Amino acid sequence: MRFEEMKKIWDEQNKEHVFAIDEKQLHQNIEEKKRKSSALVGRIEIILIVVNSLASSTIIGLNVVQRKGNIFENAMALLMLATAIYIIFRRAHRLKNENRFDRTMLGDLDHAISNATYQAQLSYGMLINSVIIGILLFLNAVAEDKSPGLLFLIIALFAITIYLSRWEHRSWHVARKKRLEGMRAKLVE
Amino acid sequence: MKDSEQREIFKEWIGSHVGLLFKIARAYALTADDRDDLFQEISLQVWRSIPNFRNESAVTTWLYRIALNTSIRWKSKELKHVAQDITEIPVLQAESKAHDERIDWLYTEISRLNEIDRSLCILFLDDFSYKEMAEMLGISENNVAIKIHRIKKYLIEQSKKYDYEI
Repeated sequence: MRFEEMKKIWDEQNKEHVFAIDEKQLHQNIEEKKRKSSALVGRIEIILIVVNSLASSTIIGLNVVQRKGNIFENAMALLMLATAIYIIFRRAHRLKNENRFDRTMLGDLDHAISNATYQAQLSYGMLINSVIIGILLFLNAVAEDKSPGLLFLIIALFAITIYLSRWEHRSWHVARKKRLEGMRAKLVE
Repeated sequence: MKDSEQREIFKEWIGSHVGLLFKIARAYALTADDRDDLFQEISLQVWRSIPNFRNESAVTTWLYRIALNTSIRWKSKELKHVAQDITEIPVLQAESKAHDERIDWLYTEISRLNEIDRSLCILFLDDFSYKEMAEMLGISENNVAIKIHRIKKYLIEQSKKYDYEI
């Protein structure tokens, strides 16, 4: 078959409609998808900012009211506060750069790669954060002479959290970034 | 932009370019369920793109870019079933028409190309020039020409087997 013939076959389909769309249903489904999937990154950022700010201010507030607290607790509170501020800064930077990409397919892919890179960095940052918080919490429990059972529980819970965060980081965020980079390579090769 | 205005533009765009969107969904999704899912994902991205449309390009070119980009990312599982928990009712309804088996063959062969070459093949079959394709994809015309040459060669090779089989 010559290519011109294929072109003719292709053009023929434009004369027929093989499908019709249920417009009402389409609109309903789109509304639902918008509600469920929009701004996932934005929601994660807001959650992290709120959780870190709240936890940090609660620890600092309790220490001030009860006039107690040790270096580990204070370090943990400061770390959480610094994390919240850092995420606010990164979020502002991300939003500012949203429109700097070309309106081409390559530009769209670069935009998606930039978002995936940001998410991967965010998840890696949270992984490191969890490790440091886990260590500080453990040291705080030791300083307060907590029971060996509680110390073991802290270690176990943080080990599980770190393992799951690492799995999520590698198999979801990093894998997604690699897939997009692979597609970009196919486009420009 | 007001919601009613966006809704009006969306309705007009989808209504006037439904054939274009079907073709792209069909080239990237093999089963009816996937086609429906992809069509909805393309529609969602079209809806979201409306406030960003600045009349710098033709609506058709804009829609091709949105639809192809969505399909490529959907195919790579980045967008596939983003909201998997949603019980979606299909929006595509089949209409019985006389059927040309050669178009099925052509779609099958297009679906064997990689995600990027599939886009180029559809654009080429839909009469876009190398220059337009290069602008839409953000790559050089030379790069487009090389890829199109490779795609044409592949399709002609495959058609020989098809001609032999029938």
